[in-house]
Amino acid sequence: MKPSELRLHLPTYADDELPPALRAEVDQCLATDPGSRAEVERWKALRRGAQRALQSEPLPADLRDRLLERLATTRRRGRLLRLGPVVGTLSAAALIMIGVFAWWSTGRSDVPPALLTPERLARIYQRCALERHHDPFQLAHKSPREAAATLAKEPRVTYALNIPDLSSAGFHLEGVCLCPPSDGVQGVHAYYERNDADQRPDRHPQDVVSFFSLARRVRLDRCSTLCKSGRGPQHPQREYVVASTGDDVTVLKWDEQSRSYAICSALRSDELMQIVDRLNVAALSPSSPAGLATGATPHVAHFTIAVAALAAGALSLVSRRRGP
Amino acid sequence: MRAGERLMPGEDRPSFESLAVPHLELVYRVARRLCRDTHEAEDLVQETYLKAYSAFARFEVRAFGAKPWLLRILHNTFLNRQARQRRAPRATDPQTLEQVQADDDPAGPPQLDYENLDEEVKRAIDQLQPDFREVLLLWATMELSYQDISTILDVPIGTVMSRLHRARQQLVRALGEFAREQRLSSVNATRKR
Repeated sequence: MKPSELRLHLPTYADDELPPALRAEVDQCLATDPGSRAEVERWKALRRGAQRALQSEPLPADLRDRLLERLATTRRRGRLLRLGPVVGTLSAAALIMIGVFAWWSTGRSDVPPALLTPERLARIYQRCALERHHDPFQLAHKSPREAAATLAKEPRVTYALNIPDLSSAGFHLEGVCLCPPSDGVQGVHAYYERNDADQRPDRHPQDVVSFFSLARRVRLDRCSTLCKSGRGPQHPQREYVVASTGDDVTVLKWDEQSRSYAICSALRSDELMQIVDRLNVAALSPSSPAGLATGATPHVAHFTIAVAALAAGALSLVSRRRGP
Repeated sequence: MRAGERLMPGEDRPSFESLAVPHLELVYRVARRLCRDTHEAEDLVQETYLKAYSAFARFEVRAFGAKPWLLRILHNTFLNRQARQRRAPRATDPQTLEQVQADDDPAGPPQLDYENLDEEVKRAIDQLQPDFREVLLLWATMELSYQDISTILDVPIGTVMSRLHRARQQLVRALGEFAREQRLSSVNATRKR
């Protein structure tokens, strides 16, 4: 190996980075060349000197603290960013539920009312209340509260019951049946009899009043000319539709929330109006033994429970992530 | 546990702080000489650590220790900052080229007492151009092998060797001049006596 070639390899030799064969060759040369050996030592000394000089560089006093603080801040931000998708998903789920609920509610209010002729109601009044005295639950002379409690156990009754108390008008409960006024409209038919009717030898239709609590809203059909509407002094927000049938039966129908109510009798419409306008049907709903006031209420309850569960889930997730 | 090793099931992964912060001093030293400015070096170190933190989740797939990993991030961050500042390292300027050609037959490093030369050595390192300085810092600070330096800087090993060769030659020249000045001044002092 030429001396110039040897000197070229000396720094790499000093770093112990020469391939084994070349290293052996350099070793042979160095054995007989003290000047080159000294140069190798000077290359090693240069590396140590550079290392020593660089190690004397002091770390700025607060750099470590500043760095740790920045890392902690970054970690907090990162945690929030990681939670973002979870919170976003939960929010989206809640929004979807709210949307579905809104759509459902709107849809319900947009459901067209069922058509029902006044004669259908009048026929139930005549057959069940006047002629057959239809009382399958044997609720005659029971209080409206007892009647409602009994009917609440009946599987066919899937909605809140409103059995009003007509005692202030001089009537008592004489019977309750579930005869539907039409195929598409379920309802409870409660009929009342005037308190002093038993003392008379003949039973007059004017002594009996039928009350219908219908499961959904209805509109009286074929009623464009025969019906009239009006409002009573006690409940001016109620709009009563008054219809008279050919059998001299008067039907009064009104709507509250998602339900329709009707009353019919052989009484005159003004007499019926006096009885009906005292009734506070809606006030009976929330305290009904059935527990749920209207058809919409179970859905409201389910919705509330679902949102509460979602919120609880999100909170527990957040608290778990924030844990030690 | 070395970063880069795979964890056994149920084994806790060490925190970023426990793995990376112990190397802060070393990373700062390299950064300080790369930037030649204290404040810039501090910024570079912090940026390096924040980048390392954000990449920490992917770290274990690398067959790297924490130190080389941090230095590689430091290197990339440094290059990005230079590019941002439009101060990308230029190719060898004519003067340096002449010096490199003159270095073809170097006299080797002078015999010096390095214990009293810290500032001179640092000054000489600061005068190196960034590419050379970076290789020399990794070579001197960590005693890394050429292969490790090549991996950290993501350049061929031949490039590492040529850069290190030039860096060493320039360092030798700077220190040689210093040694000559010292000798001259000591001779003058002796004559005056």
